[in-house]
Amino acid sequence: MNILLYALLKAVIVVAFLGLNAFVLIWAERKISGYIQRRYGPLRVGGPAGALQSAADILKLLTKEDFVPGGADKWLWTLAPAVSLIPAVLVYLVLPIGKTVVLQNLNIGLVFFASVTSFTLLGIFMAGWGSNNKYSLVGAMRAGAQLFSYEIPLILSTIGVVIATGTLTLQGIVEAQAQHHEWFVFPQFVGFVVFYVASLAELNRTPFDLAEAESELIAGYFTEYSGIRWAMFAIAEYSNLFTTSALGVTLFLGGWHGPWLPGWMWFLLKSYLLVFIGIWIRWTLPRVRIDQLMDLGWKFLFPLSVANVLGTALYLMVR
Amino acid sequence: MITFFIVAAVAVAAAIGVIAARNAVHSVLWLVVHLCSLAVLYMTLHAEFLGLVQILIYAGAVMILFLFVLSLLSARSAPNAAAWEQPRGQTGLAIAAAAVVAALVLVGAAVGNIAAPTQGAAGGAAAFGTVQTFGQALFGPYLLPFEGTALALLTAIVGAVALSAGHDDAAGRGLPATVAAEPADGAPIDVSHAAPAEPVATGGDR
Repeated sequence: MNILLYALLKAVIVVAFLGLNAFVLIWAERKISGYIQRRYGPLRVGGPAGALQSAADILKLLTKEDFVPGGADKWLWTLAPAVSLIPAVLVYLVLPIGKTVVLQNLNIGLVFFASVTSFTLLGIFMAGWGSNNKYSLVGAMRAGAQLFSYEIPLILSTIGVVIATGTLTLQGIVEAQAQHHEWFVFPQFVGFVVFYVASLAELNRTPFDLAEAESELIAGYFTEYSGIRWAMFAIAEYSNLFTTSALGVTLFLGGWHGPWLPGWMWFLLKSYLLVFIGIWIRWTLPRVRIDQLMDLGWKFLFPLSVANVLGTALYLMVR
Repeated sequence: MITFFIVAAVAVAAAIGVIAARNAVHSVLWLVVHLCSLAVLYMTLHAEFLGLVQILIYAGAVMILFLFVLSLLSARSAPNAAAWEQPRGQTGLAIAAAAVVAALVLVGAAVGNIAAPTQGAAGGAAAFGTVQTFGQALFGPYLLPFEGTALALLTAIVGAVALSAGHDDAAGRGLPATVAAEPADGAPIDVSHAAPAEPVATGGDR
């Protein structure tokens, strides 16, 4: 009984954080994009800088009509937002937030992260196919090709860290970095670069947002979604932005390790720094073409990550 | 034990869904449910790594490829029922085969001595199912089957590329750019020059 209560508490915390994270990030993205484009962004709703803009957005989304398109595959269409939200929630299980704070310290945390996030694609596909709309389907196909291609360098780029630490526990990886006072971003710089580029592609964000390229595909796989169902996609997307950045921080930037401040604060600071860089890149770079995307993934990042794994293994063997 | 029965029921129901669904995409999605419940079964047997890899590879990657192939072949509209092949005794045969398999399993469980594999090769019950024992088993006693599987999969990849490149002599035009870019192993597939065995040999050493 106690265990159940504990699990329920953890779930409530995660879901609350999920909402808060999307609340803050949607506002931050609009504000940052505003300043990058030399305008102000949200100004009028609550607070000094339009700080309650997200509240207004949520109110609007909640009061919208729940509309199911006529030709849609009703089951798939309805389930798709949930299917893409579930992995976004589950990955919080293994993230080491502080020295002793981790919801569930799995001994195969990294594998858990990889296998759970591979389900995002299933949600996207269900949405795109279930909508019975050519733009949605094209968006889903692009998302599929893209996520599939970039998952491989993403996972391979983390292998270098795993070889260096000899553990798949995310907490163990952070502890190894804290022990030697050396973040893996320095010895594993190639891995970090591959990881970050691939993670931007995994998140479907510009310059890799071909799946929802609004100038050609309306909104890609969630063209037919509105109201709270669309909001579920958005919440999942912003949550994934945070968790992927947090994974990068955990693997390469020392996780909760840092001087003076408590661990969870370092963890949040570094994660949101990576998130900020992601937003920065999104509003600075133009979208790549699909063939450039595939070239970058298969001909550059993939060989580079393989070389990184081999190099790390060789170095550790010779040393 | 309760977990086992719930998950097993889900697995069986999903398996029935795979063959009962009229829509091929629904079939694949039922298969995803089935594979996930199998993964949960692995985890209840303390093979957590195997369970997660099952989700990563089968439910995550292979099923997505299935979905792609299906939607590229436009499986949206199910063919009308009149055009379907009517089963001619296959149902009976299938039931008989299933009964034989079930009987074999039951007899095997009753007669044979299939103890729960709590003792790993390299460690006690605590180490069972961890990545270390898994890897040691894979690259130790099961090295040959493992490499054999890798070779078979590689052959399948080469075959698929060769098939999609067409049977005609590709020497003049070369392969289509997309196909040439795609061999997953980094082994260049050049139909015009390489002997069929060559890419297999170079890739198999990995």
